[in-house]
Amino acid sequence: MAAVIGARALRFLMGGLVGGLLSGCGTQGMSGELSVPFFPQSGLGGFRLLTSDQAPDLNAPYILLTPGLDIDEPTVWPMGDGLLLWVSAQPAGQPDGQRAGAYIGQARVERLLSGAGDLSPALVPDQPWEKGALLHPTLIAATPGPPLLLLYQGLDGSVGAAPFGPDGMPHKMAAARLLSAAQLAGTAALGSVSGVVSGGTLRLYYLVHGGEIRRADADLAAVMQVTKDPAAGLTFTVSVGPLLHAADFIVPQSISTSLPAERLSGLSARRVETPTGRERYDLFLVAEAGGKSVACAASSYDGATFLPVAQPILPKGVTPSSPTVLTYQDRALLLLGLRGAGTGIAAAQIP
Amino acid sequence: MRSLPPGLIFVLGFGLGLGPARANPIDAFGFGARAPALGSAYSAVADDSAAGYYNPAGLARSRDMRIDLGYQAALPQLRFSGAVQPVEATRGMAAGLVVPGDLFGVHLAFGLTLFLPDQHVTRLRTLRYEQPRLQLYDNRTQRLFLAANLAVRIVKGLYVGAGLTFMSRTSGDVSFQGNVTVGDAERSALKTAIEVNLVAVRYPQAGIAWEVNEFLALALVYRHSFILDVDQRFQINADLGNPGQVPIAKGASLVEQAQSVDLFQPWQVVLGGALRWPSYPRLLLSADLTFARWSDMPVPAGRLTLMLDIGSLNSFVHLPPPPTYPSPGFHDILIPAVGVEWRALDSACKDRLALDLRAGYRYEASPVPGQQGASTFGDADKHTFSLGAGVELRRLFSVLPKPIELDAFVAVTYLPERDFNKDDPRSLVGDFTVSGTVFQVGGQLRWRL
Repeated sequence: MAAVIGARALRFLMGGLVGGLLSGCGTQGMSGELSVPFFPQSGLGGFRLLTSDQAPDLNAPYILLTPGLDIDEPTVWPMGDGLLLWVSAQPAGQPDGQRAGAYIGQARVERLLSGAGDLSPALVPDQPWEKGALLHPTLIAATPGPPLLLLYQGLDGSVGAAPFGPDGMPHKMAAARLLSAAQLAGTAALGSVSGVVSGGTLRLYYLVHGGEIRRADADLAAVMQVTKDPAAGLTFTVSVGPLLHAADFIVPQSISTSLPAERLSGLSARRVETPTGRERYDLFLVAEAGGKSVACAASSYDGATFLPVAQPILPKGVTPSSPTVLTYQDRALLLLGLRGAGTGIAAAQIP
Repeated sequence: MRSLPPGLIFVLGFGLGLGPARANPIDAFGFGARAPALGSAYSAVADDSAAGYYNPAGLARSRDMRIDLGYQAALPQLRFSGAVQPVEATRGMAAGLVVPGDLFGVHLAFGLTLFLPDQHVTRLRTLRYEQPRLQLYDNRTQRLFLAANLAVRIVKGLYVGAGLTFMSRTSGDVSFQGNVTVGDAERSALKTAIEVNLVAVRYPQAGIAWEVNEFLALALVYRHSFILDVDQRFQINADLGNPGQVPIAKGASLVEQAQSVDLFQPWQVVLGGALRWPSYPRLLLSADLTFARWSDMPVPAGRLTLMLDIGSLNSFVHLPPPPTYPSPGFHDILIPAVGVEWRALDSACKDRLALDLRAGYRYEASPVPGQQGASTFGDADKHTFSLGAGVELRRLFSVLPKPIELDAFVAVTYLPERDFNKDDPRSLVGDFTVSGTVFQVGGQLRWRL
C-alpha cells in the first residue's frame, strides 16, 4: 500500500514539476531588449547632435534659431528641467568677423527638446569701452551656488561684468570695465575669455593671439567688490606662459590625415566636481587648420596643467563655434553655435 | 594495501572521466529558500537538492527521495555615480530532485538541480573593452543553472559527491562563396551558408561531507572555473573581378573572426561547518569560507581579427592588428558566510507542525581592482543580510505521509559606495562611483517521498 501511495505521490509531484518546467520554458523565447544603461560620462567627447527623431518639435539640432539674427557664444545656467541661456546676437548677414551691434540676449528653455523661448536683449552696448558690441557672455557661479556674474567682452576683448540682481537677472556694473584687454594680453590680441570659480578665486582662461590659452586669477571677493565700487582695487595674477598652444590640438582633414591646429577660438571653461569629489577643469574650444574647424576639449585636475583630448568632441561635418558643456538632467549636454542657413544654438548629447 | 571503497571509485570515475574541465558558475543569490536564508553558509548543511550547488556530497545524506520546487527573484538597484542602472532582475524557478538508493551495498544518491530563469536562459553580450559595465551583475546573473550530481556514502558519516553543470556556448560561421564584381556590386554573385552551433559546455564540481558526530558536520567543496566564450566567423571566398573576364584576384578571401569572453566564474574552494548546539540542539550554526580565484579572470572584451587575401593586391591593403588589452588584474577573494537556524516550534498542532527561523550574513569583497585606465569595470563590496523561515508540515495528506517543508526568505545585498578615480583627466568616462542594493525574495516547497 505504501508503495502505491508513493507512486501516486511521485506522479502527482512530477506532474507539477514538469508542468512548471514547461511553463517556464514557454517564456524562453521572450528575449528581453538590451538595456540602455546610464553609463558615467565625463562630457569630454562622443557627442552627437540632436536629431529630428529625438526632438521632432525642433529644427534639430537647433534649440535656438531666430530669423534675422546670428546667435552664438552660449553660456547657460541649468534650472531643474530648464535652462537659462545667454548668447551673443547680432544682425544676420554681416561679413565674417564684423561684430558691430552685437548684444547679449537671453532666452529661457523650459525643456531641452522643446527648444528655447523668444530671445530678448539682456545687455546692450552703451559704454565707450565696449566699442559698440557685447560679445562672449560667460556665466560665473559659485559651485555649488547661485550665479554671481555674467562676464562679457567689448569689441577689443576688454572684459565687463554684470552682477546678478535680486531679480535673478544680470545688470551691468555702473561704470568701467572689469579688465582691459591690455591687462590680460598686453599688446597682443585678446580672444575669448571664460572663467570659473574655485574656492575663493575667480580663474579666467583666455585666448591670446588666437593660438595660446592663458590663465589669470583674482580674489573673488575683490572682484565682487569692484562690481559695486569700481574704485576698489583689483589685481589679477596672470600665468607666466601659455597653458596650451594651438598646435596641441589636432584637426582631422580626411580619414587618414590630420593637421595641428593653426588657430583657436570660442573658448569656454568649466569646473566640475567629479562623482568621487575631485575637482576637474575642462576647456572647450574650436580648433582650425587647413580650412576645417572642429570642436575640441582639454582637461586638467589642477586647473594649470591641461591635456588636450585627442579626438574632436563632435564628429566632422559641421562648422562648430563656441562649444560649452554642462550637466543637464545628470547627462552631459553640449551647446554650441552652429552655422546653417543662419547661426543658431545647437545641442548635442552623448548617445 | 587497502583498496578504495567501491563508492569512492564510483564517484571518482563519474567525476574524472569528463573530458575538458569546465566548471559550475556561482550563483550570486544562492539557491532555493533555506540556503539563502542562512547566508548561503550551506555546504555542511545541505541534504536537499540545493546540495547540487552547495555540496554534491550532501545528496547522499538524504534517505528520502526529495523533490523541491520554488521561485526566487533578485531585484537590483545598482548605481553608477548615483544613477540607477537598468540592470535586469533575476527571477526564475528553483527546482531539484534527489533520488537515493542502494547499489551493490553502497548507499548513493543522484541529484538534479535546476535554476530556470523566466527571462533569459542565458545572455551573450560582447562589449568593447572601454565600455562601462557592472562587471558582476551584467551577465553573471542571467543564465540557466543545471547540475547533475552523484553522491555516495563512503563510510558512516562520510559522503562524497561530484557532478557536472551544463551550459552551452555559441560558435558559428557565416560564409559566402562566388564572385565579387569590382565597381558594380549588383553583379556580384555570392552563395550564402550559415552554420551556428550551441556547443555543450560541462564543468565539474565535487564535495565531501563529514558528519563528525551528531552535532558537528564539516564540508569541503570544489567548483571549477567556467568560461563561456563567443566565437563567430564571417568569411567571403570569391573571385574578384568582372564576370566573363580574368579575375583580378582568384580565390580571394576575407575572414573576420570575433572572439570574446562572455561569462567567467573563478574556481572556488569552500570550507564549511555546521554545528548543532549540544546543550540546545534546536540551534544550528553554519559557516562557509569560500576562496574564489578571480585572478584568472580573462580580459572581458571582444577581439576582432581580420584576415584578407587578395593575392597580388595584398601589398596595397594594410589591416590593423587586433588590439591587445592588459590583464584586468582581478583579485582573489575570501568570502565568509554565516547562518543560524532556530527551531522555534518543534511539535505544534499535535506534532503536525514545526517552525524554523533563520538568519544569515555573507560578505563578498569586490575582486575588481581600481579602474584608473581605459577600462571601467564597476563593482563594490557586497554585504548580504538574510532572514527566513521554514514550516515543516507533517502528515498533511494521506498521499504525502512524509513531511512537507515550506521555506521562504528575504535578503538584501548592500553595496557601499566605492570610488573609482581615473588617472587621465581626459577619460571619456571620468571618475565614477558604484553603489546599490539588491533585494532578494524566494520561496520553496520541499517534499520527501
